[in-house]
Amino acid sequence: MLSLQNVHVHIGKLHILQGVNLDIKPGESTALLGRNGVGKTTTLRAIMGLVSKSRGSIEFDGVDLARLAPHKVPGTGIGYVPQGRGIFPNLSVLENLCIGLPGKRDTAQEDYVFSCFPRLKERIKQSGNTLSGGEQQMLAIARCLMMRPKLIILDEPTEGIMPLLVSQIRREIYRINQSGVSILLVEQNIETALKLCPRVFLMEKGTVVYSGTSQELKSQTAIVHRYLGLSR
Amino acid sequence: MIVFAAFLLTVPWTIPALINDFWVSVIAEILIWSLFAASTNLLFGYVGLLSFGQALFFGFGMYGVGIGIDQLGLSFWPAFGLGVAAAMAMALVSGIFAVRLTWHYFAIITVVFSLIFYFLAVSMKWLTGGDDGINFTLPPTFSFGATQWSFADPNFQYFFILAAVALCFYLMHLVIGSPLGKAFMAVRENDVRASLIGLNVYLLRLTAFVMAGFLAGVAGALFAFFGRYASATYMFYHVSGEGLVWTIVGGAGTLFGPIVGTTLFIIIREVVSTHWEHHSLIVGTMAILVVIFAPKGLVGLWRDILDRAMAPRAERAVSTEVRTEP
Repeated sequence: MLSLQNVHVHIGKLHILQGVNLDIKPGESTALLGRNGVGKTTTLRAIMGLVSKSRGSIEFDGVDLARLAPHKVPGTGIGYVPQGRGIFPNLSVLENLCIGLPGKRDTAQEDYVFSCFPRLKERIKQSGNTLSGGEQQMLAIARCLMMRPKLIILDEPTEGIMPLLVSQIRREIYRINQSGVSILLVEQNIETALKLCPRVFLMEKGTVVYSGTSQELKSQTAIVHRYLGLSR
Repeated sequence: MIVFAAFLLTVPWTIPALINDFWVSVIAEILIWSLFAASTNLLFGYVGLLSFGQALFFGFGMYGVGIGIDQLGLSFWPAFGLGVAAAMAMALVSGIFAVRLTWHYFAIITVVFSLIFYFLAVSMKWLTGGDDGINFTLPPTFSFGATQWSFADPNFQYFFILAAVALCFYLMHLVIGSPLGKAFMAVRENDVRASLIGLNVYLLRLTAFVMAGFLAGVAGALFAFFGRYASATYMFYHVSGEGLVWTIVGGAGTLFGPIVGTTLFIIIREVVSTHWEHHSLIVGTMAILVVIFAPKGLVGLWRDILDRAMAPRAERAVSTEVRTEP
């Protein structure tokens, strides 16, 4: 489904990604972990075409993503929820959900989205900027779902959100994955990541240094301590 | 909002019966410049592009009419069409390059385009009349047999301009409320985020740029008929700056903001300039005060006041409902 082979990214003189290899299979839920500044967000931005790779290949369902303009990447079936909530604050909840969708309103998908996030239905006419942080994150995920994606990339979806809503967002991410949508999750909250994702990639200094199952990772305390700074 | 819309739908049509020809002419001018400010507003208020180049398209609208009538011998409607088409074509050509840039780079390139064509217009005397511009005789707008209507009749001129400007504002209202308008706003709020949901940011900006060129072109063509001449002076970037000030003071990102800002400043100019030559000091001071104390402009300030006035009422209604619950 998604395959990154030896991806290098330079930003100015900095060599940010130094040969990232990563693959995600259909329906799989995968976490990309690592400390701050190791290149997780740059990897996601490279997938979405927001930064140009200097070497390597990024393919999704056989399509070379590097050849596409960023606005064409969502059309291949990839939804991206960026760090810090990807909503349009001055548009209403409904406008946020429908914006950019081709053709008529997809009411069936709207119903599905509202079944995942009933709070949004209650606030359908409210501006995005009147929602709480957690609701804004729900809206960002819901916006992605409206595009009927095959893969959703989430960059720290629970960052700065109250615990009650964190568990709801976590539940919905699990439910979305159970419906057949693949997940690539970047998350500082290791507990959330390991619970949601059976497969894990660990990044350090711009490259993937470990890949395996979350169960294996849990048992490898040395790796967890070294690359995530945690003692489990 | 509804009251204001009702006001706009009724009062302007009765104005010639209530005031003298001088003020009818001033209001006609306000309408034209409001449309010009609306073109700035479409770019700045809805797409987030700070353009100092709208005067270029205004000038192309003027010259399309002037050259069409004076040199090509066209009648009213073909000349009007030529003015608007020339403005849109220029907007398309300059937009292809300009909308690749944003923020101050975009502002600078629009100034540069404006300057290039201003100096070209001044130097190409054989076509544009140079500094003197083009003076022309008004062709009739409509003629049925021996009966003719033209801009020579101040009332007809006023009603024609009113109808044309109202139609353009209505079209803008439709665009803003459409999915295209929402996409414009998405680009204004965050262009990267907009591209991540599949919006073609470049194409949207170019579309808005050409639409704004259309509005400025219509305003320029109307102004050419209104003044019976076309001049390069109106292509200079300080004219774009005035449109921007009117928009910001009235309320960028609101449909009626440009009308409010333009009306305020042109009336100040007309009233004060007969008594005091430094009337632009008042304009500057007002602009500074509005930017500091009402950054959403006068329409935004009015909306905030209304919201505050309505909010306690709504809260009172809720608390009454709660109290009366069994």
